[in-house]
Amino acid sequence: MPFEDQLGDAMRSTGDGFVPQDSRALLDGALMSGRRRLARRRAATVTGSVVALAAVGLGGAWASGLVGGSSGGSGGSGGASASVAAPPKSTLPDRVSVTAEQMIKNLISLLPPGKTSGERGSGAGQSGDKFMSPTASVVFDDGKGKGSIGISLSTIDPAGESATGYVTCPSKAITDYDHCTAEVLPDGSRFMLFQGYEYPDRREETKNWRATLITPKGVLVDATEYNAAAEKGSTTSRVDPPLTGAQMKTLVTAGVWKTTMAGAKVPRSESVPRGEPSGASMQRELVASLPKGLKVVDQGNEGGYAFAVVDDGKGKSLVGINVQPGMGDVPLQGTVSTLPNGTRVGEEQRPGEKGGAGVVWWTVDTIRTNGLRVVISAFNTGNQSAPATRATPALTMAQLKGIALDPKWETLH
Amino acid sequence: MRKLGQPRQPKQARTDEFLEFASGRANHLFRAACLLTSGDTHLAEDLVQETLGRMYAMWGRISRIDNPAGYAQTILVRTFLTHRRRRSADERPIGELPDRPMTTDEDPALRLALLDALARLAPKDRAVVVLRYWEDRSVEETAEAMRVSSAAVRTRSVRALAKLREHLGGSLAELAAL
Repeated sequence: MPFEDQLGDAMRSTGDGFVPQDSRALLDGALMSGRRRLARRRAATVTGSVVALAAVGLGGAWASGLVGGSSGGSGGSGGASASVAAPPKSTLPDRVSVTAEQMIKNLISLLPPGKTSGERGSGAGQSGDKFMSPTASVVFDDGKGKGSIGISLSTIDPAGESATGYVTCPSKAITDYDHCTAEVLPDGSRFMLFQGYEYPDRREETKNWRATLITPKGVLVDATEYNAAAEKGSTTSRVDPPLTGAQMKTLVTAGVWKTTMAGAKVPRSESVPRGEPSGASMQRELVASLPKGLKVVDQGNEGGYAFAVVDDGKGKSLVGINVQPGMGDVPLQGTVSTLPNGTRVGEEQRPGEKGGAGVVWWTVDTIRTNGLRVVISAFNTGNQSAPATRATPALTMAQLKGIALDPKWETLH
Repeated sequence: MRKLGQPRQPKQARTDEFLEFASGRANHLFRAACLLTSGDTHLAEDLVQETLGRMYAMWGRISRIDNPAGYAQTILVRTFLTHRRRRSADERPIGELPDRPMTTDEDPALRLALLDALARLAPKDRAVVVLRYWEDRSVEETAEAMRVSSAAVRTRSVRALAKLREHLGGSLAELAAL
């Protein structure tokens, strides 16, 4: 046996002898380390998380990647699936058998008269080592121009925050759109119709209309359409996407999708990350902390983040807060000081970075000795992407600091 | 062309999917890390944690790539090499043996001899050995993972093998045959 092979064998047998002492702790540590990384990244864009999370309401991973991806073909595995993010494996419908061809056929059968092309899909099952949700997409032309339409089926904990995020209209403070309605249907399913844009800042006028249905059993049916033949980088070919809002609703509520997903296992229930207060309680506390005399014109939350848009009569001002445990090693930015109790405070005023003209962004970032981080930001606009509506935010740095240092964040759940 | 970045998965779905991946890979990564650190299990745990943490932070993108498991191994090696740079000032003394008993009934003499020999290699040489002879990666794949040229990998391989041969001598075959 050559030395290299002996070496390989010896390394394998030596390596096999090593087992982590506490795998659970290792995974917890990894998760915490990962969250810290994300949080550090977000420290630069505190409200960035919510902008992206608003996109959760607009773009489930697998549905948005569905249309106009780079790979062609309509094979069951591979093909379009390469551009579609795999749905969470843990919520994979495990007794669902449907092929790509069936998915495409079902989608086409639910469309009004017209021509279809560019059919793609994926069946339930496996592609490489990834499990795939059933999906289908086509380019549809009713004679008035092409538009792409896609649908995906998955499951989600119907009682979880993620599910609510899918079927709750985002605040216009967070993302711009034309129209959005959310309703509960007679069978208890929640439904949202969103009519907005591929790019919320409308640097391209591609419209993105989306219909999302979550049944009481946790089946998620998600359809997206564009007024262009592809999701991105394709010029618009018609004024609006091909299906009306009512037709989108008919599409996602069609019985065939529920039948397809009848064998889906009950999704694992969603848990809030340990130590992180719920978005709802943060929102409540943030609003309660605001100085008297400010009118709250909008508010919302997403796990770990809450915001309010306030108006003191001189224009709208967006205020957002993050509460994150385990952030003891995050470096603070701006002017940093340490309070007698050991809490570190970073104060910073800088220009906004979402492109709104004249926007300023004031931040007070605080980290308690136990690693709890409370960071609050305020803007001189109600929407970061829109121009400034006033000279400075509606709260002073001292007021922001007072809110961030409030002991109530330490006991919030 | 995507201009906005990939749309995100719901947070919980992302965490669940990541944990499923991480729990499936943690042991393998840990073994690789132990070889890279020549048996420093504490450091190995830190490296795995950091590696998986990086994977989590990038998960939205990573879950789309072909081989996240292989990518995690690459990240581990890169993390190890960065880490060595960072703490080169307080480098472990060469030849120090693991401070924790290993849970195995494998031949301890072989393990100790191998770990000792690995510890005598420069960190980059060790990384080459782990990637090439434990991971069975090609010279080109190893070069890509380490962000060095193929020629550098070949040079390091030759040097590392010579050194290992010198320290392990014929004992490898002998020990392996036990």
